[in-house]
Amino acid sequence: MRHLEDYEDAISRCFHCQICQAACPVYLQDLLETYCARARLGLVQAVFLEQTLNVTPRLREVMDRCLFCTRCTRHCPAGVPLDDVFALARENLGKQLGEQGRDGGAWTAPDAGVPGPVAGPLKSGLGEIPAVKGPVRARVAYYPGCATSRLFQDTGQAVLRVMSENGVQVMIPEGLSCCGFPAYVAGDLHTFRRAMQENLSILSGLDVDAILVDCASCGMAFKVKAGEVAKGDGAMEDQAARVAEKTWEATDYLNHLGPVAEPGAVAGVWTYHAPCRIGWTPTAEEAPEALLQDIPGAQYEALETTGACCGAGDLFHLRHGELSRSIRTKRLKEIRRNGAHTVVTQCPFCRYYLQQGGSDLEVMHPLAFLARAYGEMREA
Amino acid sequence: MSGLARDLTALLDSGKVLTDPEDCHAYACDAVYYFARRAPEAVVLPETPQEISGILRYASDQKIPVTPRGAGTGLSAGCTPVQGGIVLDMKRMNRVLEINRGNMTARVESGAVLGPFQQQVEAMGLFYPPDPQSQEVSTIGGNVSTRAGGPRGVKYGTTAHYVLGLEVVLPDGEMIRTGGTCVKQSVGYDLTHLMTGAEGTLGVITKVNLRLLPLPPAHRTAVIVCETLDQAAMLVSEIIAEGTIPARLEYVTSGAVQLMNATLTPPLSTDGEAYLFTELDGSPAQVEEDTQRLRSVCDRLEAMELRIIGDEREAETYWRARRNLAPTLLRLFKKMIVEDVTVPRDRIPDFVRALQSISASLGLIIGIGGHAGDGNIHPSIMFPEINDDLEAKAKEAVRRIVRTGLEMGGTISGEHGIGLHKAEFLVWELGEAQIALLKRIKKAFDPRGIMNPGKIWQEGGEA
Repeated sequence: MRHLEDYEDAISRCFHCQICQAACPVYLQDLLETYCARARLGLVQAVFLEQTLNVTPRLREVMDRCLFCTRCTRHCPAGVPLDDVFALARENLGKQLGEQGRDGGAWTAPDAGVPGPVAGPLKSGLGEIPAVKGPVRARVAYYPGCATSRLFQDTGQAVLRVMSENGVQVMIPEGLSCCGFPAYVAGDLHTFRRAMQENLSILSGLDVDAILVDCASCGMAFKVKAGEVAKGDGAMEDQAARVAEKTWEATDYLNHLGPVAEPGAVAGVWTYHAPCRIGWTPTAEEAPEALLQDIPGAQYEALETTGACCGAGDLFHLRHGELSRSIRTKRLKEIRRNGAHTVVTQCPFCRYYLQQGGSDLEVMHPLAFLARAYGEMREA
Repeated sequence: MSGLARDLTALLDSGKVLTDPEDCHAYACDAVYYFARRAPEAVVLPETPQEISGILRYASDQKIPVTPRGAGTGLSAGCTPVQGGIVLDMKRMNRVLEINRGNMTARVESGAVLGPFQQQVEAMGLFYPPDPQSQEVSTIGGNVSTRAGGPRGVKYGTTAHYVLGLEVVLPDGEMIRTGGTCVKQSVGYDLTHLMTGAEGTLGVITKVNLRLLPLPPAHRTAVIVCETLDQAAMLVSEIIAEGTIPARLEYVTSGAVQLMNATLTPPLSTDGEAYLFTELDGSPAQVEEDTQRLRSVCDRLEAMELRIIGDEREAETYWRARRNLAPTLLRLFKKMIVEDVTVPRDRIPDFVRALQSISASLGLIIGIGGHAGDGNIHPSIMFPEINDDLEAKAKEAVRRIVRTGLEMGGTISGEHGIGLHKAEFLVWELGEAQIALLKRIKKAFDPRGIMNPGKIWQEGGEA
């Protein structure tokens, strides 16, 4: 496990260029510099490394008012790992204030219908895995996260269906649990590490071509953050590296492999909302357009800004309702201006939250849209 | 609640007044963070000129320093509240009030962010050229206050060339409007351009009238790989002497290109010592003609490679890499001091040679990467580590660079402003008599000395 002190060098790379102002949905809403990543980083440095400022309720407020969208990290020209620093800062804050990590730490499933972390082993509930059509082109393991297992089984069923149509044999390993990303976000790094250890021990032993996720956050956990919390533990580092190498977002994977099934017609205008946390893979943002543009009758309209947040941020929207709603309103305005009825996105939180704010829209995973095109074709 | 907080919340909503140490800490510096830091006692987020007027009246009365601030991207410690007091964060006054196609002008609040404004203008077929590399976040008020420029300076000048009129709140709370929206103005002292570049020491700019141009229909980006720094410097003068003024003409060294290659596809070859990034713009015929001329100059001076970037999206990756260059360098170095000395264009080869000799004699890494086309090549001293020896050498290097630039008929700041970072050299450029005059002007505007005290010249001059 790493500590804030290990990041001292990385923190000192901040040029104070302020370009992070353009990336932070919270700053862009509040227009208060305290909330931009550069200022947060300065606070972490002053409070935890230089001890020139104290832990106060205002500090807690500032560090909590962050969606953990990780856009600042992606945007930073100097490559400061801002999200890792902020996760550790939350951990330190929790310890100093004698709190348990929030959200993820307690593993409390939110109200029915709201996506969130689930305690205990994941029960996929996706039914039988359909047989592969045609020759087997690849063998993959599918990690259906908490949201797909508990709430959005349609996403999981679509992933299974689409893969089988394209010659991809899917297995869902037994004994998987929540990827732990919500705990990471809450600064409960021990819980995250424990969850990761369990999952890695299962996933790293599989003889498969790829490990698929349908959720940007689960993907980030396996691809990037597992390696970060594994540091210092050689065996876990190896497992994390093996899993990271094989981790793909499902849309991205199919686009990479090249689809072979011919989609049938689906009428309507659709658009793509890129989840904030998709940055771990450079191609996942291009995959939906590449895969879905050939669906007869479906018209793609790109959104003006590719980099806008929906405001959800896991369970952030439950604690910061007003702020989240303001961020969402801007995004929905843009979607409606664009004229799309269907919004595809690779994040269950985006899906849930945009859908809540837009009953006139339908929000789904890109492969659910593709499955619909297949479905109509097969049933016709 | 402190007395200051109580007084300020009597003047405006409590949500617009921040006095917690966490908030004040966020406003303690700009992008020369290593040089001067001082948290203010209060941060105020005004939304109207009237609110600002009230704050300034109060601050004048109480003799409390007030430092206006845009996005905090400055490179001269210009918006650092070195004497504490109140920081006026202007970013909530960010509306674009009017874009007038017929008159080719725009009217904006001073907290409007440059990048989105430019996009809005360009969508209408119009063009606002000034492009400080912080354009994604920097505010137009900050640009005006520092006469900010960027790569396009070579052809289009800097912010100062586009300001037609201002709305200003004076330190006693009085509001004035200077200039207007006419491209010709000849009425009394030009207060518009006195406030422009005043770095917030004379008053608070609340609205800006800007001149716009028609958007050039064609653009072409090219990269020239040069065997030596000297060859690149010669190419700069020759390209322009041949009659082509590129929209941008940037000087980049091979070390920087190695970093930039992380985001360039295909990467540039790294066997050159220097690179010129350039953009030609104008009518399609003009761009074609300029491209041919560029080819012939490159052939004649035997440049290693001329790469024409055909695709606009690909071209943008080069300009983005260029924009992000300064912060990207901190992946390799612990610190960098960016200088802004600018020389007349025909002295660029001499200046580059002088920089190389300063760098060699002091054993320092001095990066050269800037707006070569207008002589503003930003010599930057790089610190592989931070220690007293390097700091002392860097200090000496800065003095030599500044003196050399001035001897060549240059200036100590092309586009960053003086702030605090360059104040010690002001006297070298302006002399005592001129500084005394500046101080008298300052006193006429700000008799109580509350506006951004401690800036431009060293010590003294405030009331």
